[in-house]
Amino acid sequence: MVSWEIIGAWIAAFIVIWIYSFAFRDNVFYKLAEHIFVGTAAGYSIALAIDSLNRVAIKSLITQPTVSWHYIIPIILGMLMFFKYSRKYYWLARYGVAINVAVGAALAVRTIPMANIIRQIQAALTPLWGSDPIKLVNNWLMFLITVGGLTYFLFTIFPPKPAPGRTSAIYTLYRALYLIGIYGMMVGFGALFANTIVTRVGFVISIYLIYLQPYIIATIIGVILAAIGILIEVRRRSK
Amino acid sequence: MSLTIRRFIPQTIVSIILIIMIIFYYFYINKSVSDAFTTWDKALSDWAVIITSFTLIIGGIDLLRYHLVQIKKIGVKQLPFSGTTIALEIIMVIFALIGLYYSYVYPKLGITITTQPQFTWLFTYLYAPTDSAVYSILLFYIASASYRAFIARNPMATLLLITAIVIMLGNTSLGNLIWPGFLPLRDWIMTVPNTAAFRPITMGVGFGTIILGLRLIMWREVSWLGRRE
Repeated sequence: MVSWEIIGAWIAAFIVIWIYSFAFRDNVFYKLAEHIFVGTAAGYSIALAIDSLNRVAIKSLITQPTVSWHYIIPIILGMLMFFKYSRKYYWLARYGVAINVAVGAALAVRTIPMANIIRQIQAALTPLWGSDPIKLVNNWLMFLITVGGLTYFLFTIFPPKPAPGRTSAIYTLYRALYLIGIYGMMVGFGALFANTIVTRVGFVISIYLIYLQPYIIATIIGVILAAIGILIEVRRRSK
Repeated sequence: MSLTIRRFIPQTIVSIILIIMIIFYYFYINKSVSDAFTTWDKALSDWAVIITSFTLIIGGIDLLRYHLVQIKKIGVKQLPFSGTTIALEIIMVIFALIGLYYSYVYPKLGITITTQPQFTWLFTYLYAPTDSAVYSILLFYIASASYRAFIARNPMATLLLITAIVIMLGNTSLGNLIWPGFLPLRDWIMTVPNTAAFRPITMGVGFGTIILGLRLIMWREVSWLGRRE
């Protein structure tokens, strides 16, 4: 007896192979898998939206109407958003967007100064004198790269470039910090890029282990179908 | 009057909410004011969640409209693809609504929107594999991009290449077999130069967000209003 789980696992193996087939060439099975992804993703996000609407607003309105009466206002504002389809009353949707924009920006503005600026400055203030030479080198490196990066992102004030044959201490310092900043960021971007590659490789391996390896026949059939799809595409293009 | 209700009142709402939410967060007046602010702050966050739910539903409707237009425009050739998207979206929503119905009518069964059996099946065997496969297919593009990026053209590109190689080897067991020093070197790169390199970027993001908030308060940022009158 074939269970729904087995059918699902076979479909999952097919879909994964068909999506990977795009790395070789666009084909009809990739298009199908892509549309399956878009359809399920949209359906899933709507379901989650209904779920959060139910949990936050509707349940509270049913169980505690005296406390949660004000949830009627965002429900009305949310419904007003459907007016975006109207040519005449599209502006009514702006009231709901206004609340969302304001709350989102306020939450960001009040937490970011501490997390992104003050905490970063505090972490950058490390002792530049001491007895431990390794710690000292690390601290100096961190200080110079941080200040160098900030110099690189300074777009408002530039020290004037000295005339040919003349030198300027401020300009030399600016250039030196600027270069240290760029080199530091190159190290950072290299690390970021490498970590991204390693993460993606990890994803591919885990997908192979979860969806493909346990259902090898489904994987082979999926590969054959993808190959047929690619051949059809090649023939269609060559005509 | 028309412009007032179309533009100025929504912009005023944004300014007032932003100012109130920021001022009462930073300044303590007294306990009763603080308690009232906490209550309304939580309520406003809930309002945003409720409105966001409606925007997600509208996004789904937009997608349906788009695919219906595509079928109309392209014809039978597009039907199997757009038809699949439309059918799956509607089917998932129907199963979610069945889950919602069961959660109210038969609460003892413990079925909710996200635990409805057919909905869970669609999520597990269609959405989850496609989502992870689409995300991981980027590996092929990153591999192609790294082929172009990791070329030692100048000292900076060389530094990028060396760092990337050290990090990749430090992350794998093969690297440890080649030279045991790759792991500590990777840890040092991640802790010292990498942290210092991203610190100015993080600060820049912080300043950018504050400036965005100020622009919203002063009605300079109007892109969220959508189409212009």
